[in-house]
Amino acid sequence: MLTPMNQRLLYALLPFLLSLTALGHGLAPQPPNDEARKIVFPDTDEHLTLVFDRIPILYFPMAMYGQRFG
Amino acid sequence: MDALAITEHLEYQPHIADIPHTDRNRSYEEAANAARYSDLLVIPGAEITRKMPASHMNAIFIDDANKLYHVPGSDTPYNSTTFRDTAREWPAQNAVDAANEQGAFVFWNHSWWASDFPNGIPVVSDFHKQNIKNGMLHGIEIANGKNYSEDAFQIALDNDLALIGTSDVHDLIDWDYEPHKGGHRPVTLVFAKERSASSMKEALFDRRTVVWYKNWLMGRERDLQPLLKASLEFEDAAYQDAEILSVTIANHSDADFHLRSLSPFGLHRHAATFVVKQHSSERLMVRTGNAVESITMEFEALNAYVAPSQSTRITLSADVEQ
Repeated sequence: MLTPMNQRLLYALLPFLLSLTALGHGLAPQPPNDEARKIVFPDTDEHLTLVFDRIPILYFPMAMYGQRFG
Repeated sequence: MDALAITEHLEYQPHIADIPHTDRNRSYEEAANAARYSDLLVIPGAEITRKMPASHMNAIFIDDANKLYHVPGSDTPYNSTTFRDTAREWPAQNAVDAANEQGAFVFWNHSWWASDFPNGIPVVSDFHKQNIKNGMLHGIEIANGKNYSEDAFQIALDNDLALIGTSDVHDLIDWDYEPHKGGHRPVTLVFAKERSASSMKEALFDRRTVVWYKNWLMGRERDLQPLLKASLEFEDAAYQDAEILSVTIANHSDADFHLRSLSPFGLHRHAATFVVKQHSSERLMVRTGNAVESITMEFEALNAYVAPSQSTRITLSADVEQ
């Protein structure tokens, strides 16, 4: 059983302790920043160098079904 | 990234019971809408998904994906298997013809795919030969995802096809390539006159591409040389306190260049092979013997290929500061 004095002390420290708990989990992993995603090659004397890719957009990844259709 | 083509599988509908997906232009429309406030060029496309001899082909710069496949109406709802099998009964040539009628750029995907060639060695079928001859098949992937094919590279050179590299990613780039750890997706570098879809299309039809896969660059000499010249240059050539020339090679690209000096001048402190890291520079100490007013050195670019087993060379020059 806490004495009234200890109780007041606990209430006073509670926000600090709770914030410690929250920080104890650390920051959530961050996605790569945009700079890391950029693919940079210089333009040539005569042309612009454009970076091109192609992808399918599937509403759910087919890999979830253990299949890879290519 | 400057441009992304959306190439949905036409014949595969793995979730047809839940998502009928009746309009095959929707994926492009959704992607284009999502990119409307960005600089990204979104290119409409579709993947014609057949067995050999046609195999898988992409058609990009299309007007209407729905005209590239045909499945008749049925009283019994299709499941994914019956849909695929029925779709495959429509001749693959019809799909290629329809794509070309729309002015599409058509290329053969992952030609070495194990389902078609268990030994990993692709063979150009009569179907492909005929379409190449008729100007209806314009390119071939030599890199797809985590795979690269020297045979596909050679097929491209032998048949005057554009060299293409794509991620074909089905999941997330961050999962597959870990850009935060320095990874990157395979891409095609397209040498265009302007930053527009129409200019990119013109460049693809003219085969002006280089593939960047892992840390290798693959392209025709015509396209690779200008890229290397734009990427690498000599800077700050000067004799300092000794009679050994100091010269810096700057690298303005995302590729780490692995170089071998072919110069008659020896290198001081470096062996003949060395790496110039991406967006970095490497200072060389060159034993020129007598002092020179300008320096020209030839290097073999060990990770830049103009044919499956043939790397290219680059010559760098600079005036020596007096």
